[in-house]
Formats: sequence, structure tokens, C-alpha cells
Amino acid sequence: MKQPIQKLSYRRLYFRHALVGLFMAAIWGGYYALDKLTEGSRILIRFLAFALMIAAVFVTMTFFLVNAARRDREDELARENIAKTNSGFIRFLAFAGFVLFMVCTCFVGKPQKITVEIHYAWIASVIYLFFAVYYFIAMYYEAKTEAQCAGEEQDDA
Amino acid sequence: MPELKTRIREFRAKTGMTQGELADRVDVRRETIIRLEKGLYNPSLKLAMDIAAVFGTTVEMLFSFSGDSAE
Repeated sequence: MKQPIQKLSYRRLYFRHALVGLFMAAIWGGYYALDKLTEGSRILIRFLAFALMIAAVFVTMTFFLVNAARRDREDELARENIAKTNSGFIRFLAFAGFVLFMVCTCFVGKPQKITVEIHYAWIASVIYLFFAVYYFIAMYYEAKTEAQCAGEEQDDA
Repeated sequence: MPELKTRIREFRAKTGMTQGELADRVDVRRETIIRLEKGLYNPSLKLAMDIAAVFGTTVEMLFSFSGDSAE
């Protein structure tokens, strides 16, 4: 008889999703580094570097999908926590935008000695970092829910 | 602000139902039932009616606000 799939708590699920975000950000950062290191190298070496990145992405996304399939039922409490997460993430984005704006205004009118290269790999890396932040925020709210349910370990009648 | 009180635990004890079983019957997580019993969560009308239907009672018998005359 087939064993039922072991359900994951939302806290663990969101933690794993956040890890996926961090891994993907690291993969894109690593891809940028590999791209720079193999610049001018033979096409075989560049192909191997690209294949390594694809393999890493495949493994990470498989991990993501397997965990997503094991999530617990999405009930109204989960949706309430998702709404709180969305609100928290929007506040984070506003704060990040404000910080970026303040940093940029520090360089207005001053001679620039530092150049910033905006590479597509860095953009992808930042997007995945935001993905990780979103799920860390979600994990925080689910951890609060679990803490409120502490002391009820046994399924009592 | 009035506090929500529930008699879910009392009804569960009468019917010998566990939190997990009740959660499965109304299609929610066990954590939702725990928070309901502790008065930490205001259920939707649908959830309240589903739980009342499981115990064969009314929403008013299961839930009340502190200071209600029905308590």
C-alpha cells in the first residue's frame, strides 16, 4: 500500500523556499563569475560552465517543486498569513527603495570613481534575493502561528 | 473589545473527536482549530457554520463574545 505523502508545515515550506531563493541568487552570482573567468576561453569550457549552471538550476527547482507538492492544506489561516506577508514585503520594498534613493543622492554632483556594471546575472540574482526575503517574512508569520499553538503537541480528544 | 469564546473543545470532548479529525472534517489545518479553541482567531462565517454542522449544533451555541447573555 502506498504511503501517504508526509505534509510539510508552512514554516518549514517557506524556509525551504527561502533557501531556494538564496541558492538561485548564488547560482546567478556564480554564473557571472564563471562568465568573467571563462571570457576568451575555448567554447568547450564556456559550454561546460553553462551546463554546470543549468544542472544547478535543475536541482534547485526540483527541490522547490518537491517541497511545494508536500505543503499542508491552504486554509483561511494560511491565506491570512499570506496577506500579512504581502503587506510586510511591500513595506520592505518601500524601505529598500528609500535606502537605494538615499544612497544614490549621496553621489549626486560628485565625481564618480566607481563604475557599476549592470549585468543581467546581477539583476536575476537580486530578484531571487527578493524572493528569499519574501519567504523569510512568510516564515516569520508562520513561526508566530506555530508558537501560539505550542503546548498542544498531542492531538487531544 | 469583546473577546471571542468558543465551546469547540467541549463539543469535541462530547463526541470524542480529536483536533486533527475535526480539522480534516472542515478542511483546515490543525493549527487553525488550535487557535480557534484558544480564542486567538476569528473564523470566517463558512468555517464557523461548517464546524457547527459537524457537531450538529448552531453557530451561536459554539461561539459567543464575552459579555453576551447567551454565555
